[in-house]
Amino acid sequence: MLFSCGFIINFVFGGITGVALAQVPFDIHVHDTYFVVAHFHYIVYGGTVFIIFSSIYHWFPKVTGKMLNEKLGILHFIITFIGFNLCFAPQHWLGLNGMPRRVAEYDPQFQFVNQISSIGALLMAISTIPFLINVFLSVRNGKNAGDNPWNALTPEWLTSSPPPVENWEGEAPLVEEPYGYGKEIS
Amino acid sequence: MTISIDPQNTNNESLQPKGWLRYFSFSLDHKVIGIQYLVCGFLFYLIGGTLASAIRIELASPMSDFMPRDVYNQVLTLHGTIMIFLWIVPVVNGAFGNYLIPFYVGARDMAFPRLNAVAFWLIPPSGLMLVASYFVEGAAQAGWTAYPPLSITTPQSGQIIWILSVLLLGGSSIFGGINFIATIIKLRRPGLKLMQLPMYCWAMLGTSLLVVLSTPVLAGTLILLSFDIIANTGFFNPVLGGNVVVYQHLFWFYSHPAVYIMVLPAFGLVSEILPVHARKPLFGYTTMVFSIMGIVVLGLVVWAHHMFTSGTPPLDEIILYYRHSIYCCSNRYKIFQLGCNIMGRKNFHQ
Amino acid sequence: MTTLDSSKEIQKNNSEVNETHEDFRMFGLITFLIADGMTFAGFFAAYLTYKAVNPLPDGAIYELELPIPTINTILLLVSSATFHKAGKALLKDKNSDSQKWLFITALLGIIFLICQLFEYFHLPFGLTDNLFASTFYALTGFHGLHVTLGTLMILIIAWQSRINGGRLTSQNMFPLEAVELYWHFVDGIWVILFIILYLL
Repeated sequence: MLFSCGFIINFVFGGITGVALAQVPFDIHVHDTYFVVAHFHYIVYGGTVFIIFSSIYHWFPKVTGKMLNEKLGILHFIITFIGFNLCFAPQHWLGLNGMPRRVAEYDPQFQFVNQISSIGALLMAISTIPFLINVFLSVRNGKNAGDNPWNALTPEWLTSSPPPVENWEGEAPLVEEPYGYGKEIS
Repeated sequence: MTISIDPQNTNNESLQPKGWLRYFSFSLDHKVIGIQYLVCGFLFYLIGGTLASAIRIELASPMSDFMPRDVYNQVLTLHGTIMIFLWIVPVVNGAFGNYLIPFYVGARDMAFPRLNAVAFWLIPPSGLMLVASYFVEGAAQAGWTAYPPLSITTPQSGQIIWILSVLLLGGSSIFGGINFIATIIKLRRPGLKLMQLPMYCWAMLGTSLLVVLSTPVLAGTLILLSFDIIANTGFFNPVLGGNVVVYQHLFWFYSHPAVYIMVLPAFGLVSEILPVHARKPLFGYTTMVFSIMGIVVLGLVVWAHHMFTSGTPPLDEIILYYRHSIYCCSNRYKIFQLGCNIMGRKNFHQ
Repeated sequence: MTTLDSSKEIQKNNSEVNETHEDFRMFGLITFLIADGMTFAGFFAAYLTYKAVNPLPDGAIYELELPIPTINTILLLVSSATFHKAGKALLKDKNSDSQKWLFITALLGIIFLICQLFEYFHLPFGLTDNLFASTFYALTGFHGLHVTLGTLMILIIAWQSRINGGRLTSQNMFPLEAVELYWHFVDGIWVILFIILYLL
């Protein structure tokens, strides 16, 4: 859940820079600079990879029948989020000031910002460790999840978890309103 | 609604290997294949992440002291390619798509289980091939875009292996895309209408359309590029009368949709997760479906904005600029809808 | 009792799924052909752009002889018709007729390939001579690859439609229909290619 919120923040930011990048005169200024790198990583890491992790947290109970540890999950999220923004936000600045992408050497005036960015990257690398620990511990001895731990309405939660080979016992359920939450709860 | 587990009914399971072993077998079960995609992708993510750390360590100081320049270029290329073709695309399409789509459409498996298994088992060999291309003489160092003057003039044996493995991965995602389209359109449970599908199905439908329409163009382009390297033709080599910009057009015809191949399923997943945790109905289902399809259509025609500095005529640029603005609108719309979804929670008490 | 019923029901569902499978396979094939067509579209786009943008060096030969490709076009169109005849014959359970038509189709495909090779050997330019030559060989070669595969598949289904022990019957038409669709697709691509490459 936290990951999803992080996704929206990051994606709005990445999207705004994307719009900026599409303005022709501006693009000629920042083309092939770190601004592009920052934009791309905001979309792809901040967008997609955050969602991949949040989906893993969401569907892990379905796949294994065990819950993931929530505290380790929050730790993972916080480190990733800080590391991610520390890594790529300075790169916008770098790009606007003209540091080219795809080069191993650069002007020494950019060194400080680059070091911040590197620290962020290492934080991101570290952040996978709690995630891996979490997965291994939870597969071994996590809490039992039950069939539908989130009380969700979409069809995959209507079968047992982990699901049987042919997905359903008997006929598949017909879910006409996969998002009918307000009605369901009142 | 709960369904009791029936011990008599599990005789199908005895045909399959059990426990951890089944994740290493040539299974046809869509769930097993989904998990295989995820784990395989995650291993490549770790490799790519290590490479990224190496890049950042190198960049922490202004001079190239951690590794020489050409090694830096090779690492950069490998990082880009692994992260895009072996982590995000397979995981966000293959893993979650395979696991969830049959549940969402009420089917027992994907439409073509064997094709599905083929699509997965193309990935580990070509991934290993990609990693191996780093160790042969003249590893690929032209970035993940492999722009021609660079990619055909630098030492080439690694570049060839790179091209081959990307071709295989492209084939894998085309097979996956065909499978998803057939599953969503043809394999729906009787009585389930298209507009009753969960959002992720729509996102995957859009993504698969993009995959099927744009990946073959990349394949064709890479075939031409490999001709340039192997047979010394001049498609993209200006010295021999070729045209570099053509490569860029063809390449971005794939790679701009590729961004949406990566992001659209994420939209879908997030619109599955948010309503569950916010305990709210999804806001604006119909408009969301149309905005996804709008992204698909527009995603196929805006590729040229990646090439503003390669000498496009000004008129084209203006047209593209407007086209792009429209395009961004549909995107922003989606995001604000999701925002509304969270905000809306305050007005309701559970 | 209930468990027996439900497992029977599963089996019934499975057989239903298997019956409707014909439909999916055709659908999947069409999707694949669209994808394949996009590859060709990429090649065509590249070729047309080259033609429009890149001037050829002086003295480059880019006029093509028309007779052989025209014969080739006719060959492929006729082969489409003969394939259609094969399908009709199989529908009426006339396996030997169907096999005969299939062999004729395959023969036409092989003659097409031979003509193509003949043309290659007599062309005044080689693969790396100039940009036009490269694109020409890439396009026709890629198409020729498709024809080769198609001919092989036709031979396979001709073998499968033999009278004793063949798999193809009027009940199991799918392999023939699939290859037929593929063959028509290859023909269509050739017609476009002929117009763009030779006539324009």
